[in-house]
Amino acid sequence: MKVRLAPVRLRLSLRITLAFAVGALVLSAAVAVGSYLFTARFLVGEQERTTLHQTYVNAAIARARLSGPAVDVPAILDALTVASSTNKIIYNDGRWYSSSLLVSRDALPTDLREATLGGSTVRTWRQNGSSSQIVVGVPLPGVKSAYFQVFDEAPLRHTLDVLRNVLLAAASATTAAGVGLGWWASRRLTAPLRAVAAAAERLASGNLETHLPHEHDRELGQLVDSFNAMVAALRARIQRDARFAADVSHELRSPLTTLSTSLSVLRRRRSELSPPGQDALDLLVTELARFERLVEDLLEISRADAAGGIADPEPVRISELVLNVLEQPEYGDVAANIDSSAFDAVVAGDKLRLQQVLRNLLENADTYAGGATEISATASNGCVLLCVDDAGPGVPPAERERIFDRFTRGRSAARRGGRGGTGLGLALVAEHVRAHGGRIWVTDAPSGGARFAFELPQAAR
Amino acid sequence: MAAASVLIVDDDDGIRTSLRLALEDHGYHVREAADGESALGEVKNQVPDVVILDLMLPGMDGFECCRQLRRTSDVPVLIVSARGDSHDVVAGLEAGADDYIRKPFDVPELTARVRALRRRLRSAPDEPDLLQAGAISIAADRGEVTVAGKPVHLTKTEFRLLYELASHPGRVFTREMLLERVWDYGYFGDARIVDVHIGRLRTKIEPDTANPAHLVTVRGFGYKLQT
Repeated sequence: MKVRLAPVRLRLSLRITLAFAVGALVLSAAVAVGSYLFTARFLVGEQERTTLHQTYVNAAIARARLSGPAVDVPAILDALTVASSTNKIIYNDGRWYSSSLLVSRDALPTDLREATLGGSTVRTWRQNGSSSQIVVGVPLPGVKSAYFQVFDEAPLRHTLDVLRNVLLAAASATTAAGVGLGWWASRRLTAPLRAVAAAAERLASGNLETHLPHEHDRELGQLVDSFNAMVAALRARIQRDARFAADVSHELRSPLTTLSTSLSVLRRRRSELSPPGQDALDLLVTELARFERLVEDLLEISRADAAGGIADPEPVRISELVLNVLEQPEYGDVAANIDSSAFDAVVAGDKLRLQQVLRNLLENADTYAGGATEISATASNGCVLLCVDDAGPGVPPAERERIFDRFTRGRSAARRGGRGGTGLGLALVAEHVRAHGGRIWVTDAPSGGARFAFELPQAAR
Repeated sequence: MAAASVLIVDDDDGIRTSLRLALEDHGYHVREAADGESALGEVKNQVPDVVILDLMLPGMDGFECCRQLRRTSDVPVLIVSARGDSHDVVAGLEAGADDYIRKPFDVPELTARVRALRRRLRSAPDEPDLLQAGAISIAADRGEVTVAGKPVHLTKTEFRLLYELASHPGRVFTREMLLERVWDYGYFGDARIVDVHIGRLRTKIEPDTANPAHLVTVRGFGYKLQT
């Protein structure tokens, strides 16, 4: 199955949270906008109807009063009841009367005025500064008058603004709640995933007893069950492999022991043998030694494969390690060059395996490069760098990676016979260095030979 | 020293025969046993100087054989492990073995280990016969140890280990130092040998092994005998 990954991949928990947030935002915004529009429409319509109705009623009252005797227009104007923020204007006999000083006949649009005075009832909207007004004009035929009512929308606008703010706040709160809910849901949802991930990590670091607790949820239960089944299968397999390796090692080592023990008797009595017998014995001794090393290296490498990391790391002082390895008589002429920075450098690891790293590198130099010349150690940036230089022809760049693979001997090594090596020494070295969290590489030594350099992280103080 | 007697316990005829040939060639007096039961019988008959004990035996395995041997004897036991994993070695040491060697071994390596085990039977001539360190007193000539007046029975190796520590009370011995002085190992000895023996020694001389009063671990360095 081919899976195309989107260019930007957000974390699952972030995506869930985001989905909840967007959902809450869309939903609350829709509800808020919808209720605002509906309410505004309703309120404005209602206001218009009320204004219109009131105007008609007031016009009728005004007409009745105006047709009576002793017309007092300001008194009539005062007597008319209107809603707040509504102004009344009466045109009577060529004069204009207004209920407010702020609103005069100029407040009335000219065309409305003329149409009303011409005899039509007119209703219109008019923009006044920031707010709008409903202006209604009703002609009062017979009394040569007209009645106008101007309703200012400002208070209504204000109500709608308050409503808008309330709805905005509610929408924001809903979105925030959506984010919170999303975060909580994502935590809930990814908790089993995180548990599995943590368990897988423990498993990878070699803890085969890793086990996830039973899960009641059916879907999660499936994940947990299959994970536990996988761990059990892995454990069984590793145990089988380990048992097999142990059995193989026993079966191989017993005859090897008999062989080497018997050969040791022959070696002690070498002088009693004829010259061809002595040559045959020498050959046997050499090849048996190589066979033994091969078996040991093979078993060691399969053990390293199975173990992965270092089981019980102990502090290993690098300077001590180097000096002690070089204490062996056969490496008496290898120089130890320990920089002052590395005097106190300590690595958390397996001393025997680190010794083997150095010994294998020294042996490798012996077998293929005429012996090592120097081991140097420096420390910087929390790492210790160890270099084993030799006096050989160096390693061609093309072989520098491959040289750490199992059973690869460099071409130059093969040319010179390459006897004595098992083909596993450097692979084992790389395996051990990796197990200690370090890395290893080959370059040219300043003196001309090859330099096997490896870096190990220093132990925390 | 008179010809040392060695008891080889191994179910593999080839190994037994070749070892007999090699050790006899080095002047040892060799007896053989093919399983645990006959090994116990041989030791009962006559205690050898050293027992070379294979861990994988038919019937009673090497661990059990070692435990049974320890019940009646403090004869030095060198266990032979053909398995790669280290659990065997630690389990064998905990069963009472003094030292271990892995198959396949060099005969010189084996004889070196046997010699080292035999040396532990005696104290060096230039060492004092009587040592007193706090509540612990050691009479090397009689091989006797008392802790607060009570006699304690130690194997040869445990005795030697305690003697080394008691010869310089308060001084910290690294595992490597102890490996060299007690077991005749260079740097490449296995420090777990020391740890297991210290543990066994503690069960014999400490009132509370969880909080040792005499044999103290110095973290990151080694051990010391506290007075």
